[in-house]
Amino acid sequence: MASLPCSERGVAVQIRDLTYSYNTPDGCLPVLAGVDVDIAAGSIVAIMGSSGSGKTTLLSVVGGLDSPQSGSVLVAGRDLAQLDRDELAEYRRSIVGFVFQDFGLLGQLTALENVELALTFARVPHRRRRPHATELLDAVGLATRLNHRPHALSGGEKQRVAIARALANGPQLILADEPTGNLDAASTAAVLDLLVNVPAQHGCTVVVVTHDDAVATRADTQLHLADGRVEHR
Amino acid sequence: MSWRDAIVLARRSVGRRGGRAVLTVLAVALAAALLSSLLIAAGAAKERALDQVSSGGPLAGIKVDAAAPDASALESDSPRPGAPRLIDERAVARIKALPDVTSVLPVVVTPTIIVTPKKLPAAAHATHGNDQRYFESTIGTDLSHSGDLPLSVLAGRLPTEGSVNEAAVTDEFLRRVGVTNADAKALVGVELMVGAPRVVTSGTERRFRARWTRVQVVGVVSQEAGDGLLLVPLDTARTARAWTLAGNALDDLGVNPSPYTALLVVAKGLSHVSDVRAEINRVGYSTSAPEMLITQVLRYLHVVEIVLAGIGLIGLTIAALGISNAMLSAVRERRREIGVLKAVGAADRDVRRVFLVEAGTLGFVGGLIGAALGWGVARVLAAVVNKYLSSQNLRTVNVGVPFALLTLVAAGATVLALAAGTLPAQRAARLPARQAMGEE
Repeated sequence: MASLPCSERGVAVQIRDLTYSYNTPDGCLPVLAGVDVDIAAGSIVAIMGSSGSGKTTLLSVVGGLDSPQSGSVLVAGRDLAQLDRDELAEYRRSIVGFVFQDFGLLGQLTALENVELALTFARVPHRRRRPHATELLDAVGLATRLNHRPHALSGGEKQRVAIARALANGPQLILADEPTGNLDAASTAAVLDLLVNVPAQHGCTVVVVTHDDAVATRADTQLHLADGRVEHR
Repeated sequence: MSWRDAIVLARRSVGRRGGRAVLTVLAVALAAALLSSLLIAAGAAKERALDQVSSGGPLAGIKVDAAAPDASALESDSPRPGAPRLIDERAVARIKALPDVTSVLPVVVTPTIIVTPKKLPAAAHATHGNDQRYFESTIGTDLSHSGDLPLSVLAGRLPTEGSVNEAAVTDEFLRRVGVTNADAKALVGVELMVGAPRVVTSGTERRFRARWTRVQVVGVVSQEAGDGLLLVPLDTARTARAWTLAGNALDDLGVNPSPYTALLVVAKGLSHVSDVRAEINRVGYSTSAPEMLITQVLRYLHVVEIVLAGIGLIGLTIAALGISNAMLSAVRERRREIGVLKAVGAADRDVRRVFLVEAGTLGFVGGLIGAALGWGVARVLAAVVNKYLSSQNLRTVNVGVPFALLTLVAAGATVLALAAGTLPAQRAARLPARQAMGEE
């Protein structure tokens, strides 16, 4: 997919007055209290904040893993609040790619099969899956690790597999939740290089939740979550 | 996600939790083995019982006697025959033309003198040191349709159709010479002298003659085709009978003047036996058939089958609950994995499919192993039972390979496993994506 400058691609994510709270034994615990954010297409955005500030909740709602309780989240022309379970699955399949702190790889599958899994759910024909997955893993430097299972890969390699899987269906939005949280410095640098290059190489927007200032400094925009609201920096 | 992809993923998931999968498969296999062995045993017992009741012949077999029907005893399996009545070719043709009649085999019984050798082979219980003469009968019938005849081969084989010097001896012969069923094969190969008797009277002179043939015993049979010690091809018996009939003192030999002593009729099925018997009665002949006995035996055996199948199904249901429990545990343990599947785009139906295929795989593999195991157990049981039956001079049971039954058991285990996996699969499918990711 050809990449376009952010200014030409417009807004990728528009969040308005998003609220989210959890029911706890001690009562209702608001986490997001009227979040308003616009994320430019093709940009890299870092979301920071203290633990429990709602970073992951925000990422989950934008990623369609959860539905907004009130307010609106518009991504790629879709109002996520209006989507049912099947539509949300289709949204996660075609619009979003996830990268998790714990990699989220299936231990019973090889690196290649983990990447193919995303293509499987997208109904990509069998004969096209393997070449495409191989190409993606090659692009993240894992051409020699195709048939390794996750337990035989280092943390950095696992995260690169996860990035390849996130890119498999040509998403418009990559959501990374603490992608370097479990990595050493060298692996962190390699993974960050990959993520930073994603908008240019794949034409998609990257949103990274992180505690790490080193990661945040590589982003185009830094958002800080505090008291359920977003502060721009 | 296609079924093929679901099968690949399920196979990997099952393989990853090998210990639990093996235990679950084992539970299903044991239950399936119990069910299949019980049903195979019941099937063999049923076959044996029906074979006994029908004397080895077809269940829809009817014996037509050379006698008119007795109107007072038509509803019985073995009614008292009425007055003697000849069975000739015309009668055979009329009965053949009746509706729902599959085959009509004539039987000829002719007087015979049988001389056994001075020493019978080492038949364990043979009591004869000297040759013995038996003034008895020989039965002749169409042996090329042995499947339609009420007979079972205890040892050896039936005489070849068209042969004139081969005969099978009947179980009555065994009793006469003091040989048990278990030792029946000892008589195969023995040579007998068989004579067709003829009595000629001239004035006050009464001359007895016999035409002798050397006959080799090729088999031993248990049969209900007629009363006699030997079984031979129909033409052989007719030839002997023609020689006997050429005499002029038939009453002295007790010869039945009917061209055919009896007919063995086979109806299209057990349900047609009653109607065919009524039709034959209308033609003018007395009939007998164990239809009521067979119906009653079938009814009792069906009850036994239901009870045994019930016991097996209870076992299979317990195993299915085991699958359900194992799958529910798997759903709990694999929440994160389910969350990952949903994050990369799996719809609820995809997750449901993966878990259903896993349950079905456990059931199918367990059912397959269990069916084979059950067959093996049934074979072992049959061997033990046959040893006992042989020691009691009874015919043994035969356990074949009931492919249909084994396939049904494996399929049943799979279906039951799928049913057992439905709840866990549904629970996995409906798990909210974020909750599955472990983020409350």
